Amino acid sequence: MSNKDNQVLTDQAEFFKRNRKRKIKDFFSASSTYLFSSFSAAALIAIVVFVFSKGWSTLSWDFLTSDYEKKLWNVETSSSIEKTTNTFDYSPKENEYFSSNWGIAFTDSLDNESLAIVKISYVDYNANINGLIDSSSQEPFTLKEGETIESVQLWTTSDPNTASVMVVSSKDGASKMKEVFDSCSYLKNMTVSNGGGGIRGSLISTFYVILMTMAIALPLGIGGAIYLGVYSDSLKGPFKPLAKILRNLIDMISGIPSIVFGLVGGIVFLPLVGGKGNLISGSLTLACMILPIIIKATEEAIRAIPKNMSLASLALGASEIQTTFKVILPNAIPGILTSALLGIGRVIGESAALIYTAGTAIQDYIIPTQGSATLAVHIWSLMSGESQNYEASCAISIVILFVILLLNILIKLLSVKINRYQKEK
Amino acid sequence: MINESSLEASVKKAEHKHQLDKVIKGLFLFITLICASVIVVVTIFIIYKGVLPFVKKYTENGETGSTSLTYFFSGLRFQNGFDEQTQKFLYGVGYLIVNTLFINVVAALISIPTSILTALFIARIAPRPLAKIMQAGIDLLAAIPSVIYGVFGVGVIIPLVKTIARNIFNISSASGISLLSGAIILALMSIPTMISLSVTSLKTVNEEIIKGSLALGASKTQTNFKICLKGAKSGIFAGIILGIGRALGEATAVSMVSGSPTYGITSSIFDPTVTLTSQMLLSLGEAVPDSLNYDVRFSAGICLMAIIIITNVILNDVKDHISSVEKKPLLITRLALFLKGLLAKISSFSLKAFINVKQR
Repeated sequence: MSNKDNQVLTDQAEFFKRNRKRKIKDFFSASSTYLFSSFSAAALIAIVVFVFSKGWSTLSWDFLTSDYEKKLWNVETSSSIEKTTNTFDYSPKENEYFSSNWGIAFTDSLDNESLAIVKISYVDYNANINGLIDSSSQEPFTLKEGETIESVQLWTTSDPNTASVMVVSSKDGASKMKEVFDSCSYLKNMTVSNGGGGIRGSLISTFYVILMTMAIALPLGIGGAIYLGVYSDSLKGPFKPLAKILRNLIDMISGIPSIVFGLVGGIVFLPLVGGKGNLISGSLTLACMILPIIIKATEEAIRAIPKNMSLASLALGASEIQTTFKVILPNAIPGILTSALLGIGRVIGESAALIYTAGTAIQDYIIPTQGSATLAVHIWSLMSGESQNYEASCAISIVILFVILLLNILIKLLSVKINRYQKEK
Repeated sequence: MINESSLEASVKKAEHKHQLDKVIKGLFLFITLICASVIVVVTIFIIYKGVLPFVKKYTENGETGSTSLTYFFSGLRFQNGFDEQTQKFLYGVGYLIVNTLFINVVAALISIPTSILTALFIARIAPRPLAKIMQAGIDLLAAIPSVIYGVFGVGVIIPLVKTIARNIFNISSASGISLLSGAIILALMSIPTMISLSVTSLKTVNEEIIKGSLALGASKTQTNFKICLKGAKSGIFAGIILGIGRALGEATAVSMVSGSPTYGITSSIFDPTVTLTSQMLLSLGEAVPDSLNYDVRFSAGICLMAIIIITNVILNDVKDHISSVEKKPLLITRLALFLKGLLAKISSFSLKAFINVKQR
């Protein structure tokens, strides 16, 4: 009796021991899933937070619409420009530094690449500084509010033999600039700039590339999808494996890395247009790249259309073309739109293939037969140079992320429409 | 009379329609053939242009010759000038293959466990709203272009790796521009693909098996690890194959974070490295189409495609092996068995011949 009791007791002890062991094991395995998923969530949040924290301050309407190249003017004085004792009707404002004997006010500001610059915030119409001359064209030059003073050379007196030369540049800040302006009485020359660092050109070239790529890829892709989705099922005899072979070949396109597409596009399409990269050959290359995406999405949408719809159309006496163009295609429009959106998403983010075929130069005036950077290549150019410009790259990243988010939402909405026939069943 | 003529007309019309049908059908077939020919054209050009450097004589910097094939695979510098003795240009790519494999293995070591466990969390453990949010976030991240990952790598991963290397591993020379940074970026890029495919396949695991496991007394965690993961392994493997494929072909992000040393196999994960893809991007501005420097990139492209295809074949083989019920033998074992059989056949054949000779 006691022996049996003992047996039960040891069994129980064994059970508890095992149970505890299992609990410890479970705890570690479960916490590993928590750990790793929080790690990936953290990494993914970090990307978004980084991009927004660095780029948000740079992103502005000005950034989107201004040229990448700065407009620069070298201006000098006709000998008469000296400080004046005119009275100025200037009302002091916060953060503005007004040079009372030149009649000009400065503010500290940041340019599109988040570097400190000094901007002109006020020029009095009485001031002598209005009589500047453009060095290259020898025409009168008027300073405008909002322009940046890159650098100024001032003399303490107008006589070159006795004058001491003072030079201030944009990075010294507005208060220093005001001090130097106040201490000198003769302005020798200065460099004024406006704009610069914007992405208008890259935005436009991205837009061009998307348009041209879609114009090439959509007809081809839709045609291919119609053949594979509508006609290939009726292949008979020795041609039966043709559909499978074609589908496999098209699937294989998506396995080629984009850099290889770039290499091949560089020698196949570049000679067609000429030059060291142009938007047309870039678009042709990208069109080849996104063909499988378009064909797949469109074919899926065509196959989601119930068979009896096209059968009904055929039974009513419509020919195959009529059925294809009047029954199948209109019903596949949500799928075609989805495929186009997926393609646009791919085109916006593509960089490696375009570096080969469309060049890396950031342009302001876009001509399709010349090379120009798209947004993604613009980021690459900014980051691979000697001085890396996070702020501008992150601001462009925000633009790209925003477009991709928009595309994703649209695709989600469209997918409801594509599958509408499935739900009715 | 009238009826007959109208019938005739309609028959004619139908015939006409039928012919038009055939023409349009042919047109669509033609379009499909164009689409499918892309892969053929790419393959032909890559192989043609990639073999050319070893066959054709190029003139570069006043020297004329082809490229040395032995140095191509054994050389430790991409561009090593001209060898006077053999009259050949020295372009090395072999070490790039090693570096590419190294960085991708490190990336896979990071990405595979992370994505499997995260997928398990999303599919089985997380409360529904959290799982939905994570799923949406991962869908979005799969669409983020690689340059943005590159920017993130330069801004966050490089300083992070630098501090880790300096403070924990006491490597004072580490700059953060390293193989590890590149591998982390590649891992981050492939994680969304891997997770979304794994989650899909984890969700299709038969609910009855899971309930059966729970009813037999297995704990929830045991069920998750031993039933769900095992049931979904073929889908998980498909995700891994896609993710690794994406990582292998990635160029811009890696070239941004891994640096550009001019020679040598990378030995430490904290050293900068150059891979096949980043070397193909490097100093492209100097390479003119049809020059040797440009065409050698096609040879590197052949190597890249070969690596991708071989990796795919091996991984698909492993996938078939572990996901088939009867444990389909691995390609290597099949190959070994085939060779063994062949050897046995040859030896028995030669033995027979030997005996025949002796008998005579």
